[in-house]
Amino acid sequence: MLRYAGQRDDKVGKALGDILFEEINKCKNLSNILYTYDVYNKNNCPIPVNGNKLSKILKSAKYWAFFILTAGPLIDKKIDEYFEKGNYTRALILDASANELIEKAADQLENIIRKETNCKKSTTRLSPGYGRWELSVQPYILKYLNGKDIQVTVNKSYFLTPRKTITAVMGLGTSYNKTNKCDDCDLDCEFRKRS
Amino acid sequence: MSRNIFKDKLTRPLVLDGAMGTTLILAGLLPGECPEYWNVTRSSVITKIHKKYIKAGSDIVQTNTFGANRIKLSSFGLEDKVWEINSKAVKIAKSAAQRNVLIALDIGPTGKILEPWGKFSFDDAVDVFSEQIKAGLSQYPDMILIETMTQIAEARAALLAAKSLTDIPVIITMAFEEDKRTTFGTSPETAALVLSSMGADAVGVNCVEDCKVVTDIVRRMAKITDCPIIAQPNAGMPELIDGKSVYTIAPGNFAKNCAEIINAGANIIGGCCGTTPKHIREVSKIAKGFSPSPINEQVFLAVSSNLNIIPLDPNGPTTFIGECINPTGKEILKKQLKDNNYSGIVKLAKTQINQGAKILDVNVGIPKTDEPTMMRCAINEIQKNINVGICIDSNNINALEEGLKTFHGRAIINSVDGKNESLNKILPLAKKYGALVIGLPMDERGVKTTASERLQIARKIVKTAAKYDIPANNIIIDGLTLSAGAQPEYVIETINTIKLVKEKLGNLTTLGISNISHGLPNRPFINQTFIAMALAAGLDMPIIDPRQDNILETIAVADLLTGKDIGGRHFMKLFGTFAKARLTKNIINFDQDNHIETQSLYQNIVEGNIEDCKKRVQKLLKSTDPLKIINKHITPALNDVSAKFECGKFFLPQLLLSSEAAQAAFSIIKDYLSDSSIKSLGKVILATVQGDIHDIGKNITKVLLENHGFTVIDLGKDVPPEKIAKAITPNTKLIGLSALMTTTVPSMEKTIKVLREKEYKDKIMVGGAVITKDLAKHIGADFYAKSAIDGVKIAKKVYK
Repeated sequence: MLRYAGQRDDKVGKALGDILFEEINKCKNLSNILYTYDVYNKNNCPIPVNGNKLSKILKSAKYWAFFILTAGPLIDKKIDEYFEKGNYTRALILDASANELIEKAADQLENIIRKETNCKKSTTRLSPGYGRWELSVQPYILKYLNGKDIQVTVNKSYFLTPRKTITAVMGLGTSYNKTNKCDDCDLDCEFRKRS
Repeated sequence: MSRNIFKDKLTRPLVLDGAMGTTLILAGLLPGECPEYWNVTRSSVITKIHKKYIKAGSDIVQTNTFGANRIKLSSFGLEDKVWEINSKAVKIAKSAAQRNVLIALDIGPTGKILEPWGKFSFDDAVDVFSEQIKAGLSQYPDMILIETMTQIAEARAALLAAKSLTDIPVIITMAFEEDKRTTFGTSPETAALVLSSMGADAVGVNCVEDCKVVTDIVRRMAKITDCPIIAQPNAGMPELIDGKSVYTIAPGNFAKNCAEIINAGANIIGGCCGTTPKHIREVSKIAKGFSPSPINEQVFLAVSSNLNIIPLDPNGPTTFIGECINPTGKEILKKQLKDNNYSGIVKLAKTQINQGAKILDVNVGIPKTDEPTMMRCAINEIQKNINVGICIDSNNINALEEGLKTFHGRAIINSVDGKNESLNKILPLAKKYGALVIGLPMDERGVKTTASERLQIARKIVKTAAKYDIPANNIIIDGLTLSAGAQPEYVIETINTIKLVKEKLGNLTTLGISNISHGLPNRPFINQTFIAMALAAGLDMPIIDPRQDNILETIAVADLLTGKDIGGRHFMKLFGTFAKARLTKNIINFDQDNHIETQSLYQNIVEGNIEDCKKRVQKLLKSTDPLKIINKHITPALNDVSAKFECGKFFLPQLLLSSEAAQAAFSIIKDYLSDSSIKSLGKVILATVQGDIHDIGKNITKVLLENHGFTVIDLGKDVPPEKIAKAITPNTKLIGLSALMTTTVPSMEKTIKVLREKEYKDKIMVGGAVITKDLAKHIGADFYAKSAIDGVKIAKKVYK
């Protein structure tokens, strides 16, 4: 969570420590996790899966599970409110908490999908934008998974609303597990996990 | 089994057993069922499991009592079964064991978070553990194994409970995360130091998935302590397969990993979660091929906070003790303590740490007050958020013990003297809590003694400490500083005491430096000269007021000249800092009447203390011109924060917090400024481009620009190019555009094109997660801002 907030170590003073504690709790209270998923045979999948790295990861999986997961709109609203009122640090920390929240929720959703599909193995999840998977796939994911049912929409620039929303695919029936997702991305952003 | 017999058994690595919980699940333990209660209801299964591990080669078998304390049992409604479960568990294990197999009463955590980080008191924790241990001891186990501790506070409570009830060996392991610290931040070195100094017979690590992490932890612990080291790794990470947790490391590979761990220094090896008798069989085969890991004979001298060790190396840079937490002569601090307000104590702590103190002397002695409670509260308030060593300073034996119980690092006791009454009261406490002790070479003769007489008393203190099994080097000898105003003839005796102790005993030495100038004028200069003399005589750990820069400078120069500061690195760093400090601001302001320091506005901005900033600026406005406050306090503080951010000492959260603190100050000051004195450095229009709905980066840039004196027109997010164009006025020289994703970079390019078509000829800067310098150039921008700070630099350049 600290990494999402741009903090490269865990040396936080009391003032920041108190804010961290409060905003993490607020994040939990404001979140309303909703999800939807569907599984397709890879030979009969209506959602485009392109990008050479993505294809490499998914190729040995017989089935592909796509999902949408959102934390709901209230966190976005609170972040915007914080910025308007000049509570920038709280906005940053709440934003970072929400990023961590949906990643952890997505981890749990992966477990649910594996259980419900009775699949012992799976790849890690990949989202549009990773592994060279074009962002233009977002409308397809929302269409076939009925994103509207969980109040998720996408705009012309492929931005999802609410902002704290993840879409992803994972391959079922094979394992390709990386604990560091940054290994599969060749961009160098400030959030890259560094040793 | 006695502790010596246990040590004698370590002729080869001893093998513990493996997981109990995992094996019980395979035997049919249902979710929500109490595993420890199977000692009562399904004892034959437990016996079988013990026998399987013994057959596999375990030298030590742990009882099925990991969660058999009243706190954990209460979740099953079994809190009144503590005695039955624990005594039965030991009985079962003993009946399963053959002659040479040792039985360890297994003690796990309570699940509660101890004070000051949680609400569970240390005394209550000791009580809970004592209840469980008494029950187990009734059936005579060979040892006690305390495991899976994540809090050093709880580990200490369990260890104290065990040591107070029995002389059998007590071994203790902590669970560490991937970053090689416990959940609550304690390093392996600190765990090893604190627990071994409190009398643990072996220390170590358990419940870690990655064996490389375990190996490193073992290696690090082995360097610190002369205790045997124990390791119980997990069989890898669990994977969810068919709804069940399956551990990934097979027995053969697990044993190979254990070989690495033994090579790193483990004397006792076993398995934690996911391990089975098959794993232990393979480990047992490998362990037979090893000689005992050498136990570190050179004792590493250190104290610690609850997180990190503080080495005390007489050949290294001087470690000083900060003396400021003392209510003597401080009326406001006295009142605060009597009102149960510890904010003044915490501020004094932070101030001293900012000046480089790694150990703080804590004295809360005020006549007719509850000193033990005040000592507990003061230490808790300090250690809650501050990583520092503590020297517990009290004449009240109860306050001393309360402090030793409360502080969850390795403490120093200040002090014991040469009188038998003092020695016999205080040294047992030092032994019990593993503390170092400052020895005052003073007895019934009083303070007016020669250096030779003081050496004799020092010898007595060290000799008596040995009777309590306290190593000689745990005693730090105080040279005994008397005021040069009252007893000038004894100054040289003090210096000679330091020389003699170093020469004849070799112990670390200390002196209360400020005492020398008590009652005299020009105190800073007297203190400075005295410490120089004492350091030349061999003084190791002066007790000083760290707020006196001249004292710190003298220490730094002495370290340079005596070769303790290799390469003069600290000297060069310190003198750079001091030069800057003297040019720009006061770090500390003193309340001269009441001897209380008040943290400056500068410091409050740097630390992001928003409320304190407001109070401080209101106070300053009574005596200082508002523009001067901005130019001499706020702007330098913001520059300092920016510099720290750029060199990686501060990160985005601290940057923002400081900005908010500065804005809080500005919002008060602006009412005192005339319109003519408020001059904007220039106007900057900011927008997130059309189609993009993320604006955190843009918002942070806005805050920093405003703090640095620019007027910002923030158009928000998803802004069409035409709206940006409309916002331009004749004095607009800089527009900033942000975009998060590659899909909105074309929108950024289009916006720049539209602005140029509308004849905007001034500068455009761009930023965002996917923007690069080349991309910025390609789309027609003038500047690329990698960070919000870059945005400010660009603005200053444009409006120069």
